[in-house]
Amino acid sequence: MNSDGNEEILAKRAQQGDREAFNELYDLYIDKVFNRVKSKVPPQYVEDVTQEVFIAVLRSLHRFEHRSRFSTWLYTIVNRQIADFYRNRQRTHTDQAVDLDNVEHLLFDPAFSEYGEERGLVQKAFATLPEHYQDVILLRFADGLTFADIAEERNQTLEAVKSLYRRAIQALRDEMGV
Amino acid sequence: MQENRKLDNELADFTDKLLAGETTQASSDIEDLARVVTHLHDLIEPAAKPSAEFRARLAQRLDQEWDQLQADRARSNAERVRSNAEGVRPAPKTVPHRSRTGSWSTIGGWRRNRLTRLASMAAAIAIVAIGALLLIGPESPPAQGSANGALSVPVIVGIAVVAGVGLVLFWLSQRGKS
Repeated sequence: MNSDGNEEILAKRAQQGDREAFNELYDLYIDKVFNRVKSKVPPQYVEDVTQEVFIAVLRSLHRFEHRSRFSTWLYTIVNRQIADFYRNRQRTHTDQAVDLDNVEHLLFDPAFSEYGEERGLVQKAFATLPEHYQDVILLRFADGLTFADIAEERNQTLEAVKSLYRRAIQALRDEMGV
Repeated sequence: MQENRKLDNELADFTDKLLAGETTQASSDIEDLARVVTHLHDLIEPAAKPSAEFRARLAQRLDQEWDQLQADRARSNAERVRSNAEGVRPAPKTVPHRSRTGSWSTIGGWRRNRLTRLASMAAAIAIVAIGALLLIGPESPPAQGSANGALSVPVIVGIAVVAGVGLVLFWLSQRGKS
């Protein structure tokens, strides 16, 4: 399941101008990126933001220095594009200065939510979780990794990952107030 | 500790079954957590993939972006090469870089050849002149007022010619150094 070695090679080839290598990376990540975006963005904007993510990846690929995994670098771009989306949305609704650190939280306000209240509530609670909790949930739901895969990915035992997952869900429950 | 591990495994199993599309009933121990997982599943359903239409549209958009980027990079590389070429003052064709160190070089060689030719010419003139004077020498009157009183005119002329050639060579060598 862990194909990072292959992804690093594909990324290098894409940086050298190999379009086929970039297409392979696109095929590998389109579903994962789409699902990650879907976890934080209203459904009607998911395709637009996903497109912006891949365009940003293409434009900045030459700056990827292979100091981290390709997936880590890619998900940083996903998060940045999601933040940009909310920053732009905020600008169209108000002329006030935007607090970039809290932009996602501001925009998960129910008044801003343009779709189901329950879904908005889950998104809002999810966005407030610490990063390592969000990460384990996204790896299981958005990336579709099994708990064993996640353990391998994070270099942890299966028990540790399951424990982390339960604590993440408990934190989400507490945030949602259910 | 054991209790937590039991909850970890139960919640992980519930999640696995839910994501696999199996209907499952959560135990009362994890009922509230299972409800959160169900909400999360509604928000981020891994099976929900981007539509084929969106994939095709995005792939086409990325192809355009790729072509544009390659064209931009080729243009900027060409501009860089051109500006580099214009930025450096080309060295004169007849004066290679190392001639500026002051040592003899190609141009020095040219000068040296010229000097050799001049010296050869001067030496030839001197030999002819001395020869001619030697031929008419015996009939010439002895030079008056010389130190030994025995020097003939041809000898004096010969010495003058050699001295003249030496002066010319010295002058040319000084000119070459400046």
